Amino acid sequence: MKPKVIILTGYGINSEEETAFAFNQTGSESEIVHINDLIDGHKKLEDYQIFCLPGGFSYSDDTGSGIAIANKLHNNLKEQILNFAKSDKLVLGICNGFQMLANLGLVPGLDGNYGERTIALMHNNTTRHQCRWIHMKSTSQKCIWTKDIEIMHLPISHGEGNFYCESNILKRLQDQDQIAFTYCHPDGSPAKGEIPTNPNGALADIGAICDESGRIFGIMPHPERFNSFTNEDGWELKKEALIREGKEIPTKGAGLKIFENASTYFS
Amino acid sequence: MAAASIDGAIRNIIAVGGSLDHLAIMDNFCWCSADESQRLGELKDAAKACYDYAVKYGTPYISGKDSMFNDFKGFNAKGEAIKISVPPTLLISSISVMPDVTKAVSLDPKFAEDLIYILGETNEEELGGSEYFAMHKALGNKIPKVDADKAITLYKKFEQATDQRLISSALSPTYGGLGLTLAKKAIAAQLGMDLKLPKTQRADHFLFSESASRFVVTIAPNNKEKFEKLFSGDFTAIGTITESPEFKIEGIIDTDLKTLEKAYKKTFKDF
Repeated sequence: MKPKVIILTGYGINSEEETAFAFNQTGSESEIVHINDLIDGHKKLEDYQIFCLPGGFSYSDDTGSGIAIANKLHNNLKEQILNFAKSDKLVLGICNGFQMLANLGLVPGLDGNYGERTIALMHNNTTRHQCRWIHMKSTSQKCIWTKDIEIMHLPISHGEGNFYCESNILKRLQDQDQIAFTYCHPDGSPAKGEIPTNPNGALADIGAICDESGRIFGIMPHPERFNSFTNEDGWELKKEALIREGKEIPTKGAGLKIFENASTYFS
Repeated sequence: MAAASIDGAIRNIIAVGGSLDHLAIMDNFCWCSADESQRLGELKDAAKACYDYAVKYGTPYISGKDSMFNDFKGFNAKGEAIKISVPPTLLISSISVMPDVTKAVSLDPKFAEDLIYILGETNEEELGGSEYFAMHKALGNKIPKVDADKAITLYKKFEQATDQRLISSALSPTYGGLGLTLAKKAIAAQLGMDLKLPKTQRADHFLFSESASRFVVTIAPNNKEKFEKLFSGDFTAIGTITESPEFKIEGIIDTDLKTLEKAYKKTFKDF
């Protein structure tokens, strides 16, 4: 049976359509649900296997990215969300959704202590919104979402992606294999904090983390925006090379692998 | 001017893989002093060109916008009344639908050894109002003219070529003519060019004439025969793409990509 995905929308979330498309392309069945329909009880989280907080500009980023909506979720749906997080299900937060997960304390959720906020995604140290393609290296063995991925080319679009936490938290993230993606050069060598390879100044080049179980995943770039071969920056050159080698032009984008990993988890 | 704007919008779409059969345009008149007879007369001529060329190309206007008074009226530091106006400008936008996105053509040359061609005719006298003349503080008197019938024939062939994936990169010359177009392509690919201009035309005029309805394309060497057959009579072969980052036009210029890119990206004078 296809896993059912609930993708949240409302209040300035704006990437729900392409996120649903990415899930549907890879063996899951997604449903876009307004946050108020969850709050009013028309829909229940327990009816789904995957809970997704997509990207966007919820509450137009006023008072800080993902803060107001995280408060709304916390104040109205805390119990449902914590129950979901503790059960053997998957949670994904992309970009603004990652900021929500961070503010809700669902990642990194150290010692299974979901609900405690221990990390921050601060303003980019470039002081500007960054909207372009970057490379990331998969660095976690336990993260379910990044399984069988080595280096990924992905688009970013954020003003607040500068990952930060206290050094004792960072050490635990490293020790517990919770760092899922780090910004890197195209060959996989580390960015070492250098702009533009690390696009925002993130501590230890961190672009994505997971909880202790590897099920709850927050990622700054947008894998859903690399759902087709022709989404990729520089696809025209790749196409020309393939044609000259007499090879077929693929249709799917490499970003789909992340969504495929989620549906495979339930098969 | 109006005809060149319209042709520019259309050939830009053709260059990336669009089709005349499914193409719409929008007009945006950025005019000035629309209460003066000279400006109103120019406006009338531009509107007439909009009608004539849209009918000729079979490209409907689906939207548009006018701003008729792009004028500043005020006082200078000495307290004297001044008026500053934009030059009357017609901006045309274009939109087309492609059945297969993978047939889209980008502007950057792809690989070394690829062949570089100009499609369409360069009239070396068409330098009136050009960037090259402006650089020499001259206006000139021969502005680019658009021969729509000829252009349509070329655009139809171009559509066939994109459909058959014969073209690896394409860019249509506008401001700065062939010279700037070639340089932009080299910068985009970070690949060099080894060029030789036709001896029949004066080099600087050939490089900087702003004649309409042209393309600079690169193709894989394997496609040479098919390409030259399809565009028989329309093409000028001018050189090859090189791995080394040098931009060379025989007997005229020998420079490198870094110099070109620096010049292209630097701010305008006085900024």
